Amino acid sequence: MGRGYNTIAFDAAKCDGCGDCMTACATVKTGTDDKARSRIQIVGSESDGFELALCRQCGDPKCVTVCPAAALTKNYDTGVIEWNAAKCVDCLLCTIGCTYAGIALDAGVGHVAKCDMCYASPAGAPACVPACPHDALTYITTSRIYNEVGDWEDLFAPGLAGCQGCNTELLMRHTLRRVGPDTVLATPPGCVPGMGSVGFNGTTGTKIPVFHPLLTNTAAMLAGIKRQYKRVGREITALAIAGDGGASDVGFQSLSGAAERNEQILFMVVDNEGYMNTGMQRSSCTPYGAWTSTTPVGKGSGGMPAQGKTQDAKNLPLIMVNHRCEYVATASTAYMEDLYDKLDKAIQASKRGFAYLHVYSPCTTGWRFPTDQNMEVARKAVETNFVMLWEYTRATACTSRGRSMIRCRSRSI
Amino acid sequence: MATGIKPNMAYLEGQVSGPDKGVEHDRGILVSDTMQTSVANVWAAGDCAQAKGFFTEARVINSILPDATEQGRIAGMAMAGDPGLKKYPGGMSLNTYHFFGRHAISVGSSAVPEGAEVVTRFDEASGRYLKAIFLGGRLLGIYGVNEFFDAGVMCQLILRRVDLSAVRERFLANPMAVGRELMSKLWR
Ligand SMILES: Cc1cc2nc3c(=O)[nH]c(=O)nc-3n(C[C@H](O)[C@H](O)[C@H](O)COP(=O)(O)OP(=O)(O)OC[C@H]3O[C@@H](n4cnc5c(N)ncnc54)[C@H](O)[C@@H]3O)c2cc1C
Ligand code: SF4
Repeated sequence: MGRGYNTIAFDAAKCDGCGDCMTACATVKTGTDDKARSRIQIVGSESDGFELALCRQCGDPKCVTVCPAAALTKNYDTGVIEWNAAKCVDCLLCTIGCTYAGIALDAGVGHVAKCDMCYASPAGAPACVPACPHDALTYITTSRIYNEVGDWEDLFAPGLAGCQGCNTELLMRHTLRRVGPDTVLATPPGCVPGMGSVGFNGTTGTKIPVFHPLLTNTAAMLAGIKRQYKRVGREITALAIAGDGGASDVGFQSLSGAAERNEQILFMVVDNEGYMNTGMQRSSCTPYGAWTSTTPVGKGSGGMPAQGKTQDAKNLPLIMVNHRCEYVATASTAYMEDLYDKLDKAIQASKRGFAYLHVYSPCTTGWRFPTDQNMEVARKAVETNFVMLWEYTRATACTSRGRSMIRCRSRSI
Repeated sequence: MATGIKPNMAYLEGQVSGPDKGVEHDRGILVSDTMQTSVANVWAAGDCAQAKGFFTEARVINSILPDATEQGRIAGMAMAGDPGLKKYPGGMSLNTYHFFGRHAISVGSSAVPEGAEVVTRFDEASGRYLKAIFLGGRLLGIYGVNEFFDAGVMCQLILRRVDLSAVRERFLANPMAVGRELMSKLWR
């Protein structure tokens, strides 16, 4: 399997051309504040928008192939194209080879210079990114997950029949890879079993023990199974992957009961805001105003326009907090590092008691957006605060990005 | 000072006729735009090859390193039947050199075809010199002494036949910054 690398991402819409990134780079790399000597170059104007010239650390780098002195090499561990001053003969052929202006003459010293992602710096991360006051630059480090997770076994069979662009399939494959083979999976009616994970025609879609409880009794059955395994002395993770309908509507009483008894279960809810597997009916997690097949939008009848769902979504994760679970968190596949952190904590918490993970999961079919837009929609949902990512432990209460979300004010009488 | 390259073709002589007609050659080995010679399963690339020029249909020996590596890559992909193979766009002069404490960059053709326009500017104090040749809105060649710009970016502007009409004055004033801007907009 190929490797993923860290990268510097640029959001032109956020850049105002202040040049702080260039100053930071020049300071670190040349000891001057001469922006012309920065390895990252912001060009353009307020009216036309700002643009970026920066080494792309290409996978098949032209600068490396044209260099006659073997002074440039691709480091396949870091992904960085490294320049070796001792070998360089200053021919500048690399500046001809590169079509991105990623390597250029630093006139201040008479040699070429290029971005090395500051790998060798004490921070080991680019100096330009934290210098940007507008978050136009981001240091993307999710490749770590790709590299690590790629080597773990995918515990679902290939060829599950999820819809094109399905976020749920992505989520469940990641989850089971992480939770590992010593797991018993319960998955009530919904998209997860619907795409074949529980099997059909006498075969199974999952490489670990999997069962298909009723919508109503998932948590109760899983609690019993976990207790039996404990009784015979076997350590397993009891994992449920349920839809929002199965968890927040008919499945709620057994979920609430198991949480209240603090059963040692990891309960994951894939919230795609409705019963998408059976034809997109509303659930209690469908948000206000949303179209579903049972909450239409349009002309309506009897002179009343149909305005989508007329009730607010039930905030299931917050209700789970009120069960004082071992761990409760919300997550999104658009924020994989965060999701993995929370998954790790939930796995640990499920060894002590009830862990609940609520993942917001856009549905290409039910929400009717193009199949290549899932990550974009998931990211926008978080960026706009339509959904919020937070976590709860008994010690810290609710926190988001490490900061408390609850401010209590007591009034003196 | 000397320029140019003369591949040794002697070993191919005497094979140009008959049913076993050998590898066609002129000053160099004649190749197609996938670097194939006139003989099946024989490819040539680099200084020994005479391939299509970007500005002329006549085949030329373009003896520079970037072309040698590009031709080598194309030949390799063609041999392997790689479906990602893109045809050779044609060779173009490209160079950068230091001399007498100055730095020069040249990209593209110095020929001035009919209807083309040559723009030059020279600043005596800084010794900065720029010459650009345009045909319509398109750049044909650009030359600088002590005037820095990214040769790789300029080369793409020429190869992609980018229309520079709208940005011409800004481009001539600062080819490096405007070239980078266009790169980021057009092929980032
Ligand atoms: C002095 C000089 C300066 C240059 N400066 C520049 C510059 O600034 N910029 C630029 O772009 N280009 C420059 N070039 C040109 C550039 O070096 C060449 O275009 C490029 O190296 C060509 O690569 P090639 O692989 O086609 O040929 P070569 O690099 O010549 O490789 C041919 C190889 O074939 C081997 N060979 C020959 N005959 C046989 C045989 N019968 N059997 C087996 N092996 C054989 C040779 O030993 C050699 O290793 C310069 C060239 C010279 C000579
Ligand atoms: S300037 Fe240095 S790094 Fe660039 S091609 Fe020439 S020898 Fe290689």
